[in-house]
Amino acid sequence: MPVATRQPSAVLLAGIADVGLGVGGAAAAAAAVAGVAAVPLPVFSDYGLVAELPPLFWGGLFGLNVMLGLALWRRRHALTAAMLVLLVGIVYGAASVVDRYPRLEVSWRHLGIADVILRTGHVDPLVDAYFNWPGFFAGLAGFMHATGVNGTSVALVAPVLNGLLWSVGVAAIVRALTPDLRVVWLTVWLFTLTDWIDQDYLSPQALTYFFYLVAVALALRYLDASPVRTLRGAITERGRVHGFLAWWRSRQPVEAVPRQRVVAVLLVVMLGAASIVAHQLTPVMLLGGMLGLALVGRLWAPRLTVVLGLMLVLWFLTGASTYLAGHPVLFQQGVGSAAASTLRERVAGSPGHMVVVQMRTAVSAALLAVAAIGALRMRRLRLLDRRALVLLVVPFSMLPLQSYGGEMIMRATLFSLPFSAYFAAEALLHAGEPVGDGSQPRRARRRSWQPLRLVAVITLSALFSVGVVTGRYGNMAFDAFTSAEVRGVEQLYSLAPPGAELIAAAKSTPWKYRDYTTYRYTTFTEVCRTPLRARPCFAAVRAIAHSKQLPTFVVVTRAEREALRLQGDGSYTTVRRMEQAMAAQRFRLAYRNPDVRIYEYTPRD
Amino acid sequence: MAATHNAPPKPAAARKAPPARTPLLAAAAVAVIAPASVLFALPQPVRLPLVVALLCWAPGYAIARSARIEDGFLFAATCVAASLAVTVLGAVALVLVGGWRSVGLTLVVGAVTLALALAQLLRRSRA
Repeated sequence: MPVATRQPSAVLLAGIADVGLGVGGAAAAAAAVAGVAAVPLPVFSDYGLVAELPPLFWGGLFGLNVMLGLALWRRRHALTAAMLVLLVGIVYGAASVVDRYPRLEVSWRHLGIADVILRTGHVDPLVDAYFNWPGFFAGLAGFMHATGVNGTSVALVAPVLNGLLWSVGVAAIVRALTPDLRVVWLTVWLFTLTDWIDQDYLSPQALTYFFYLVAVALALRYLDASPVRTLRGAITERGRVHGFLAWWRSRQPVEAVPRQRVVAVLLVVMLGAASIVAHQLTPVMLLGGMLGLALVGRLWAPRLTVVLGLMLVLWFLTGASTYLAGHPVLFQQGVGSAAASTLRERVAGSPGHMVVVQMRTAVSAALLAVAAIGALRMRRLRLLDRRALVLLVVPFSMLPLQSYGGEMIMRATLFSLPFSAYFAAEALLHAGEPVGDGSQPRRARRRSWQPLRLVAVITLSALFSVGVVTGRYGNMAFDAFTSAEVRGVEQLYSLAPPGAELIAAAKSTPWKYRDYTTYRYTTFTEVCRTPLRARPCFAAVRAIAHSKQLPTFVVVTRAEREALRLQGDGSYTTVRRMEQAMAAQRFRLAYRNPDVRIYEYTPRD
Repeated sequence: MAATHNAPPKPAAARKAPPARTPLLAAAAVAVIAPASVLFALPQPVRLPLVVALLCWAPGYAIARSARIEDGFLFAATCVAASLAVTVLGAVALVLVGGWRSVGLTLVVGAVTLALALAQLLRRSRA
């Protein structure tokens, strides 16, 4: 019995291979972390973090991808899951290893809004848009105070926590579409390596995106419906409108237990409600997704869309009414102007910055191309799940509704990402798999494709790894802050009396984390036309300072100068001339350190 | 569907097994102890895990148990998402009524959790 005698050794070899994979994956992850930890701050390159990372990091990241591919192919699910956790930690947490302070000015700002609620216990909707959607900040304030955890620590680990939560959400969605665990893992893998969109920092959108993922997963799993009639047959029989309605009404629930459906509806409503009070865009995306599913006859509870819509309108008319009085939510722009706004604001800057922008576009385009192959193959084999296609397309259909500050294309890409990653995973795992009418036996032909697919997955993951690190951390020169910058801003708060005007050169300043409503904040880029010109901009700043009863403080930091230069809004020379003009005309240098200079203007009595 | 590899998982026809008792009791215990730890300002190393368990896990766990969600990914995601949703909604409700306090938030989330867990335990004892 050769099989019987070979079995123990085969098991032993397989065990050794698994241990090797595990050790290899852990070593690769450790190398990547050690590599990124060696990067000094500040980052000076226009390409961002990618230009500063040592070969050790890349070796580790590529090694982890190879180990992940091998674990996936060997169907070692626990190992694959563990390595995915490491990958998510590295991709989402790289900046948190480099810097001891949270990246992105907006993270600091969000801490400031939570701080207002913590101190006052209420929100003033007149302050700005954040106070019209206070859900996230009220929860964050409660969490920070009840746990006693420092806000900057929460902001520092938030990207990794959000990355992990999103991964679970994406896995839940894909699990509702297919029982094949390898597709689940590969989708999460591709999602992680193509999510350059950088919305995972401490923010309402990161939390509500997780709500969106879970709500969609619940709808796919428990609220699926299947029309009994065929659409074509119904239309042939009863005409277009009546035929469509007859087909649509013939839906039957896929989930057999009514209680499951009811609980799922309640959960989706609850997640929708929490999104509505916390973020402007996510509930609209959720409503759009549910409407899309309902239209294609794949939502058992179409009235869910009515409930979500009513809750949304109710919040617009009550909680967010102050903000909306001056800011129309929908249809404020046409497709052309929304797209132009997005492109104008996002695709501009220094040559290095442009490379980063192009890399981001290339990553998304490449994923969509592979996803298209997967979707076409599934359609050809009549395996296409329309629900995934609808949820991929719906976010892009929202583009005409709002430019969303020039970010709408990015946000639509993020909301469609789980589904493009799913189709891409299907393509990579099953492309070339025959239906079974060829001359070769099906199993043998499938086997012959396996090494090719593994190589394709590992090659693509290596390319995406470079793309995602470049895309996510392409602005590290100005969105990461040094200790000197944080110290400088602390000094700014100690110098400025309450009510003073604080002016920064650009938004990239680690401020507003405290006294959000105590001071008036503005930037050169808000009060001057861009690209900045020293003389008129100085005149505008001086006019503001001159018109105030209280002192005005102008803070110029390294990150601000880099932001102006990289985004094409100004140059070092412009800022230097501004500073020279300030020094010459009643602006006193009140504080300086290697990365920060603070000028004070005191009005005459 | 002619699908082999991507047919959606078949929903179970009947799920009669009642939810396990110990985790529900744990959720109920967290719902009581965590607000108390905030109210009496216990040391941070004690408070931190309790409050994290309350705001990020306990109410969602009770809900997910009640829903009898079988898929592991969806169960885990629902536990956290539903808990955070309860936290967000509770916080907004407190802000709107002008009574926002971190202790109040833990009390609200604790009360919701306790109610859900006790309802589950009652159902279990009747089953």
